[in-house]
Amino acid sequence: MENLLLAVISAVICENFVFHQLFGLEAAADAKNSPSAVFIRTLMTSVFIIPASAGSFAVGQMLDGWGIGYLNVLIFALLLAVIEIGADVILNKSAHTIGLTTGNVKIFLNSAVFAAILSVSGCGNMAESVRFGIICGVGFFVGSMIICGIRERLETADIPESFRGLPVLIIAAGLCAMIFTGFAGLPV
Amino acid sequence: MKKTNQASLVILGILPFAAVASKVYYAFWTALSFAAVVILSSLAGSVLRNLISGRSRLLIHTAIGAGLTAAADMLLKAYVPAASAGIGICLSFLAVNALVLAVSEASAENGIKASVKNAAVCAGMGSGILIAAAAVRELLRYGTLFSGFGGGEGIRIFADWFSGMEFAGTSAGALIVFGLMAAAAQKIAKMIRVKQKKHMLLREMIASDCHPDLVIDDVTGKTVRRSTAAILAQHRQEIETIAENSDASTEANVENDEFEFDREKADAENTDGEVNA
Repeated sequence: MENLLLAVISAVICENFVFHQLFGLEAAADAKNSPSAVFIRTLMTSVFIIPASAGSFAVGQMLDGWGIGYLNVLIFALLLAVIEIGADVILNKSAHTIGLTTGNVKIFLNSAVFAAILSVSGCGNMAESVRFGIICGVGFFVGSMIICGIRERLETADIPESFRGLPVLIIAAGLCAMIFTGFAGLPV
Repeated sequence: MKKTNQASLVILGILPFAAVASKVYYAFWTALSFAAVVILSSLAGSVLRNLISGRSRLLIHTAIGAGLTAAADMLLKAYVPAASAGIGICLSFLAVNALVLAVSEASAENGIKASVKNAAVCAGMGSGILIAAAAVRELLRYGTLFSGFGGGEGIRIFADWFSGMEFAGTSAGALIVFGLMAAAAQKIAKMIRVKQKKHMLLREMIASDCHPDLVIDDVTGKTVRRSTAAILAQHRQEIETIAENSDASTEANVENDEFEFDREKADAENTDGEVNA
């Protein structure tokens, strides 16, 4: 348990999924939804990364057993698309969550989940893949929430016209990444 | 796809590759794969648009994008292994890329030509930003350009005294350079939009005869100055008058000629009669 806690702290601060490896940055930077919808979408994505990592380990073992491991990208993308369609059907039936699935970046079909799925291949067993999923999920959630907070603050700031929207958000994310780089090498 | 949304979508689509674009070599191959996947998936989506509908559209488009991504990844591993090693798993993100999916969904509503043109514009913008950002990063980090092409060290821009900015090679440096490139792209896109809008307004003013100086010529359909149009109209009227006059004299001459011909014929007949008599 202590090791898991230290691993989570390391994932959030030292090797953050969003700021160090830029996985899932576009999911956090997509500004088409309201802040509350972005929070729910980010939470759903972060929680989904855990079973996705475990599932991808199992599916990866099956594909390697059948000798078609090179089709992992296609298989995983199709599985994520099916889950995205299912979520779209379920979430759009709820009145208060209408608009949750809109946006340029999907909830489950995005690079954060895909990065976690593809990186699981280095894990030795299912327990390691679940641990990896928890680390990635927590790191993605913290990184995305920081970017959402930055975006809310930038909405009221006086910004030159060319920099408004994504450019200033990306630069701000870069400055945050610089801050997190300072924690690299911290003995945890 | 609206122009304002298109720029944001291109930036969102190219963002996952900002980290691997530390050299022009890696950015070039990433941009080439990116452009190929975007254009081919848009083409496939527009060709199949009448066959698929509803929620299965996302599944089919994802399958097409993922298949093309897997093919691009395998081709890079086979023919350019050094670039493939440098890019790593980031190329696989094309399968779930926001821009690829958005362009595919837009192609489902347009014809083949419009879809491919739209995809080419998006791919061109994204590739340009990625390669430009990579050039800046490589210059700041290593002091060279185009290193890696042909296995060489590229063109050394800065001399040996330049130790390089390690910050430019990190993710933070990538994001800051990328953000500045995105701002430049946004500025250029706005300038082009303003110019196109001015041109369109000018054409509308000329077409509705509201422009103080310019007007559309009735005969040729070209845009000319009002003074020139007046001179042209005057010349055309003179030409018409001359033409009318020449037609009238020609008709009179033809009638005279016909009368002369008839008189000659009658004289000839009379002469024959006298001869016969």
